[in-house]
Formats: sequence, structure tokens, C-alpha cells
Amino acid sequence: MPDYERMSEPIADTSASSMSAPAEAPSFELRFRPSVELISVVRHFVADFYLKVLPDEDMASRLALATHELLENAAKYSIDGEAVLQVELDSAAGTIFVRISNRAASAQIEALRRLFDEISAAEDAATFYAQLVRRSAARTSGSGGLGLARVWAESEMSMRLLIEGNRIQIHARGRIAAAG
Amino acid sequence: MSKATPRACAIEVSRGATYTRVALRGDADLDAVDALGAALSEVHARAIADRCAEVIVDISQLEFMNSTCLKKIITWLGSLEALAPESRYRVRFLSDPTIRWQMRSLHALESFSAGLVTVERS
Repeated sequence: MPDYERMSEPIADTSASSMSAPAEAPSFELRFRPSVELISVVRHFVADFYLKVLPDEDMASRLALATHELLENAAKYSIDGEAVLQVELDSAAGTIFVRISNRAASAQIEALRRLFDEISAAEDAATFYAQLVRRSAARTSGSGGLGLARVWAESEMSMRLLIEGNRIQIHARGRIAAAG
Repeated sequence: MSKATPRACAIEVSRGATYTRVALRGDADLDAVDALGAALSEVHARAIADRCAEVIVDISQLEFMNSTCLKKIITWLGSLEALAPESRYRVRFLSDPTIRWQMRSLHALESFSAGLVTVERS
């Protein structure tokens, strides 16, 4: 079973307060524009955050790469140049929650819908990533969803797509190893 | 470990008698996409013209590669695979297992035609 679910229901709440972790849980929210120029700066901040709060470096590396890819996708396709990133770690529950949000053109939204449909039908993340690599080799333009397939394969997180009008959110949630 | 500041991607191409070597260092992110695509196109054209046996891609000092740059590499490998077998050259990646994304992300590249692409730990 793919660890994935797709939602197209209205977004109920996009505020940080909707997160369920305790108030003292490590977390941050970034809202920035113009986004593309800041991506590499944010990536280093995010990588350092994960190294600080997660119990092992491999997990921190996987999550940093996944977060970067989500962020880059959101920034590249944002129609107003803005992207919002939220990351929250719930040590007690053993979960990490990454939420990325932006406004996108209808063509991009439809492409995301199709990609998430493919993800939901995929056998597993690694197989799907390998398939996307082969498919990308035949494409001369566009990534064909390679970044999101990489996120799924790298992070082993469950992913959810939410759409309301032209605002899209991708929620990624994963398990983290216990410290110590 | 992450460093505090972003590092530009450096691309160096050198040639031996039977091989071409491409060394990538730093961070291959959005700023590096065009340069990487152009470098790989040039390497591909020269390798075919020179009947090069092997292209070595040294990523052992490449700290990061985003999917857009990865796509450039995949497109290059797709072009290579599309050649007639007698015109192909081998591609060997030299990776560093301590840079954690490399083996995870590059493993799928070995799904190209058998023997065409290998990923080695340097």
C-alpha cells in the first residue's frame, strides 16, 4: 500500500495554530518572497534545524532534501512569488510534519493532481522514483514530477495534496526515530 | 554537516586519452542548472566526436544536487542511451558515501541500459 493519501477538499485552516503538537515542540514557519533567490539560504537553515532537533544525521539529510524539493517546487510555480513553509517536530508522538503552500496556475494544479493520482496508484516510492527517472530521460523540458517522486522516495513520508481555488498545499508527514 | 552559507557549483571538464572527466563541486541548485546543462551537452558532443570510451563524473565533492540539476543528468543519460550501441560511451559516477543524498538519489541512474551507468563510492 502506498503511504499516501490525496485530498481535494477545501483547506480548512492554514495557520500554524492548527498543528497539533505541543507548544514547546520544535517548529518554524517561513513566508518569503521573492522566493527563488532565497531557496538556497532557506535550505541551509532547514538542514541546520533538522540536524539540531533530529536524533540521527541520515534522517536529517533525507528530510532536508525533501523539504528543499517541496520548497523549490512551490517557489518556482508560485504565481505571486510567495511560498509558505511550515515544519513541526512532535518528539512525543514521534512525527515530523512539513507543510508547503503557494498559489499556482491551473495547469500546474492539474499536473499536480495527475502526479498525486499516479503516486496513489504506485507500487512503492522507490519503484515510482525509478520510473520517473526513466520517463524524465525521454523528456526535453520540465521535470515531469521528478522532484516530488524524489521527495517521496527520499523521505519515506506520507504526502497529501490539498487544493482550494488556486492555493495548493502539500503536507508531508513522517515518523522519526526516538532520541537516545 | 550543513555549512552556513550556500556554495556555488564549480564544474571542471578535463580529458585523457580515452576518457573525459567532469568534476562537480559545491551545491548544484537552481543557479547551476544552465551551466550544468551546457557542460553536459558539450561533453556529450565531444565524447561522440572523439569516440571516447568513458565519461567519469566526479561528484565526491558535490554537497547537494536539486532535482532540476538531476534532470539535466538524466536527460544526458537518456541521450546517450538513445545512441546506437557502437556509439555509446560508459558513464561512471564517483560518489562519496558520507554525502548522504548521493547513493540514495543516484541509485536509480543504474537502471539505464546494463553497464552504461555505474555509481562507485570513492
